[in-house]
Amino acid sequence: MPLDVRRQKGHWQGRFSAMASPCEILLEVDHEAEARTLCEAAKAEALRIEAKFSRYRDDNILHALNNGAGQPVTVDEETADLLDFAHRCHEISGGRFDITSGVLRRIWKFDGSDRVPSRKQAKALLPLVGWPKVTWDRPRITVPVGMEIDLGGLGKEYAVDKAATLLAERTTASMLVNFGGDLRAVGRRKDGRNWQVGVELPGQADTAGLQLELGLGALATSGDARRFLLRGGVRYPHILNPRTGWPVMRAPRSVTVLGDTCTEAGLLATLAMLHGDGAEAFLEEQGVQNWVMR
Amino acid sequence: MRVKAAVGRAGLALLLGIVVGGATGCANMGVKPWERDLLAEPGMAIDPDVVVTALDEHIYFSKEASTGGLGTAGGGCGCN
Amino acid sequence: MAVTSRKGRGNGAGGKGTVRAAIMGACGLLGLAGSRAEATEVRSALLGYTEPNRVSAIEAIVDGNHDFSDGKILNFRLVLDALTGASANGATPASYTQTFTRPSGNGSYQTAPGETPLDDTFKDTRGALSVGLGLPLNRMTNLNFGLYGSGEHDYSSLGGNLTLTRDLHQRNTTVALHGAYFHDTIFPEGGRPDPFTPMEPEGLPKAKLSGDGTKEILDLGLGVTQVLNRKMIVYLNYTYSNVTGYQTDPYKIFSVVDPVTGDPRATDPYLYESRPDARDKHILFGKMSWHLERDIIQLSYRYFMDDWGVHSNTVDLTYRWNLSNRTFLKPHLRYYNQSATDFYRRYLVDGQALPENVSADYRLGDMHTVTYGLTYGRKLDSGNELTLRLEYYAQMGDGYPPDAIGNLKDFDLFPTVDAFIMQVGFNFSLPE
Repeated sequence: MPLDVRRQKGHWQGRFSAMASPCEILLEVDHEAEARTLCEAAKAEALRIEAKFSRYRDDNILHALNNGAGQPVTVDEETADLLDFAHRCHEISGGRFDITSGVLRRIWKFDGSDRVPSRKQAKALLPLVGWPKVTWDRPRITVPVGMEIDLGGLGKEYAVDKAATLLAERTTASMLVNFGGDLRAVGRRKDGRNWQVGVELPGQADTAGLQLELGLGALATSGDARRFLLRGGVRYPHILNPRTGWPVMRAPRSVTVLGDTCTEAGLLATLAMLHGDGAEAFLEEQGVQNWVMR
Repeated sequence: MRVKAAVGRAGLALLLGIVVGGATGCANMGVKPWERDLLAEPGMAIDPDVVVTALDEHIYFSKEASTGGLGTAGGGCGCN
Repeated sequence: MAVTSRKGRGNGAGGKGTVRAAIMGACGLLGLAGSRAEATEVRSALLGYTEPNRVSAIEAIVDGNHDFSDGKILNFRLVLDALTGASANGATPASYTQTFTRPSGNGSYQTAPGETPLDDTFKDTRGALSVGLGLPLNRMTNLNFGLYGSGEHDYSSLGGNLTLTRDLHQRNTTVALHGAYFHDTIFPEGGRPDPFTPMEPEGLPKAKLSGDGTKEILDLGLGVTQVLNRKMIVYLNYTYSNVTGYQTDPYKIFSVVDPVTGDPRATDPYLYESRPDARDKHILFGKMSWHLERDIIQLSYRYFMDDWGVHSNTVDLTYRWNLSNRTFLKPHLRYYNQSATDFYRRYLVDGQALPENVSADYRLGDMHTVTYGLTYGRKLDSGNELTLRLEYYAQMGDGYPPDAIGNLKDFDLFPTVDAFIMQVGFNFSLPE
């Protein structure tokens, strides 16, 4: 979708597609030319990150390190930073957050159907899951044969933050970067008002869902939206426990977190889901504004 | 007198240790940004309570002959 | 299906859970600047200080910091204090009742035999205001400049300071350069006495220096903060300070005693003191913070040296015992010793040549002090913090020097000064 820039009440709105999501940038700038230049920059950054870390391409660093045949692959600074970050998140979350859990996709297809794999199938894949099995010695990463690194769990929120930071370096105007519901506001609104934000909730695709006000900060939502399995009246959330290969059964339907950065908010939302019925207690302990839907 | 000299010597040794340690290893010492969780706690700040420091500096400035350290060495008062 | 909205209270410092704090730290390495929300933090306290039978003071302080979203920081501090009570005037005890003239010249006070002469004229109120602005020059460099002003009935001070800080090595090292300048004006009650002239009986004019006294203070400092590991951080700082101008205490005298009896001589027994008009100070200070997983130890040492002859050592130790996520107990111990200035004399003997400068102010003498304290802190439901601090401070010197002459042998020439300190503090954030 080409970049579409139009005037809204009091601000400019730029829309485009990236990372399989509808993306929008709201900017409180005066002139269309400026809005367009900024949106082009944000779009370019989103597409750059998508191309660099997409698992659907065979010409990027992600493909290279996932197809290293068990040999070390040298990565660039940005990829190294993300791997360091993923490593730290794995530590912080006590192993719940794991970027090697992507292989479980082979048996789990969350398409709303009732095709739930067997425990035996899940167990069979476990030897190929586990960040500690990867050798990460910056800047070289060695991914064992059969294992796969997937940065999809971080990608969108990271792109929001990078785009927002990039825009904030160019202007102090107030802006809202929204990539498919993960969003971040930077700058200061002219009259102190806040951005009106609607968060889509699962099962309520037509309504506005949550109506929130955001001045500064970031929102990220982890939710099963249209991604779940349903069999025998039991819902299987799409949040998988990397240690069992099985979904976290009592995860909330949706968790939305308000944080300082989108990456932080997204990670907290994901971790909350991974806590299953302990999601609310976890968020309470972390001291963040949160919205949990069950 | 003996206590004074001992305290003085121990103190200078501490400072010398810090200076030498700092000079030789500054570039290699430290932590990664994500290891700053404990360091970020307010109780770890070199001056964890500026109000207490300000009040105490005023007391000690009025009662002793020395100044400085954490508090500003100047900013006088005619404290008797 | 129900949506529940909540704001978590957070189980860690600053209302952030430990996992969240760790994640925020991790986000730092991705170069994702957190949107700085504007915030105003205010720290306030009320302190009571009392030396039984001597000086008492009450002090109120409000210190506010406002963070702007562009990284600028505004600081504001207001201090008000009131002092009353009696303070040693520098004279020695005698074997009979002594009479001294008040600084204004109108009125006098008496000291019983054997007692340390104390002037109880002191009632003073003081106000001080400082304002500072912190400007980030770039991601790693910060410039801070501040202005200061204070006034009391016999003293005023005006000054400014500039600090430049720079972070290095992924913010593991911070270097700071600091400069400050103050101009003080001294206009004592009754005027500035001419040094070495006698204290006249009440009603009689005393020899005075013309005009107000002034002094200028220049400070230059260099400091380094270094993270050693995940649990330890050290700070080292060197400051040079130069003071020029009127530094004599206009209210202090010294006794000239009879060489045999040790009692004040018959004529002009009390002379006004004199201090040099230049002072060079060097201060070396080091402090370490050590996190023990739950509690925190802080230890500091300061070495002070000046060209008046003072050498001092200060050791300060605190242990922050975190009773829970919201409450703490913090015992405190401070030990200080100093050597006397070259011109310190407890008294002069009649017939002795007058040195260039003399002061009998016990605060310039050989002494050591100890402080024992305990602070209790509690975070309230609102996130605000209440603190209560109690301290005991004692100053000790040699009350019975071996070379005391005559009756002075029987008197305590340096009675221990005890002080009790109580402080209530309240720290809060203003909503944005």
